Amino acid sequence: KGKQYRAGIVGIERQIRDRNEATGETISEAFEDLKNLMKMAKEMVNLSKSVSQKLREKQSDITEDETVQFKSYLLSLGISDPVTKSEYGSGSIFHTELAKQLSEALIKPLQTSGGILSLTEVYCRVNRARGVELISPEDLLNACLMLEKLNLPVKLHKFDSGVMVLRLETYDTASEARKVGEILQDKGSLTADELSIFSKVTLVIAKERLLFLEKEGIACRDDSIEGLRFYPNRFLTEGA
Amino acid sequence: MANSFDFEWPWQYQFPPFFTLQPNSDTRAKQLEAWKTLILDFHKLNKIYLLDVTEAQASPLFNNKAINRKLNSEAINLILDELQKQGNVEWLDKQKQRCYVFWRTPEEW
Repeated sequence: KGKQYRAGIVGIERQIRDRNEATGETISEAFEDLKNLMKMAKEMVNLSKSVSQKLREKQSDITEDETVQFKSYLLSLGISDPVTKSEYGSGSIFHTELAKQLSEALIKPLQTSGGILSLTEVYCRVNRARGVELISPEDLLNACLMLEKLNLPVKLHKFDSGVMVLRLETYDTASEARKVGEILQDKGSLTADELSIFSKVTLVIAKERLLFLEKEGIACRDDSIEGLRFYPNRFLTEGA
Repeated sequence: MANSFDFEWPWQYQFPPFFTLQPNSDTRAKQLEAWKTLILDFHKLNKIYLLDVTEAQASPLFNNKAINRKLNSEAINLILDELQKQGNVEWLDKQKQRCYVFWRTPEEW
């Protein structure tokens, strides 16, 4: 900065060259640091692999503190490896804690939305509320998988279609199905988006409810270019 | 098939889900049962004994213009196969395009 440049074209050229050199140095420095960091991380990965090898040699027992700690090491490195480690410690402490926090935070939103929320919705709400230190989709899923074991009031449920939802423990599928069945009788026929408007739930959940009714034999489908409609199942109620 | 309009259709014929193959196994069984009865009755009352799958798709039997629904060929084949198993249908060709429909099975005759 303090360097004096001569006036004229030569001065300007020299100034540009100096500036380029400076940026080049910063860049190579940054990459040098990154390389060092990677080197260290690689060592950590190797180390953790040898540790997991040792773990495998020992017989798997109930959750030992050692394996739990090891799990959290893996997580901080970003190389969680649940396939080989699932026997050695059930999930991580982090996920357990996250599960507790989630169930506490989600009770209110769940109550206002009829006791059921899809996992993507939960993900949006949680991360929107957090702002910083966001959780990854995998963290959320892992935490939700712990919910059952921790005996918390919120449960994870997976539909046949693969859609995952969180439900309150008090959520009653049968009475919900009955309610939807009544709407269906009332309206004569329903599409998923019509139901989502009538019962004020999201489209995904409305569809799952109709599919559930179909599975139970209460509804039947009419698939045409007009869309997928569900009707009360007169095949079973009325006979030939 | 001019006299097909004298035919008295079962209630299912006005019921749109009748024209979609139901994924629920109990429901589907009832649905196929109704279809089988309908096909046999239809042929009996109109005194038709030959069914061509491609042509049948346009016939009122599988195509209810009033509610704008028709049964797709996959479902038609499924029903005809079921009928063949119980002896009411005999295929005329290997491609399963044309078949005889027996109102009564040959044994019953």
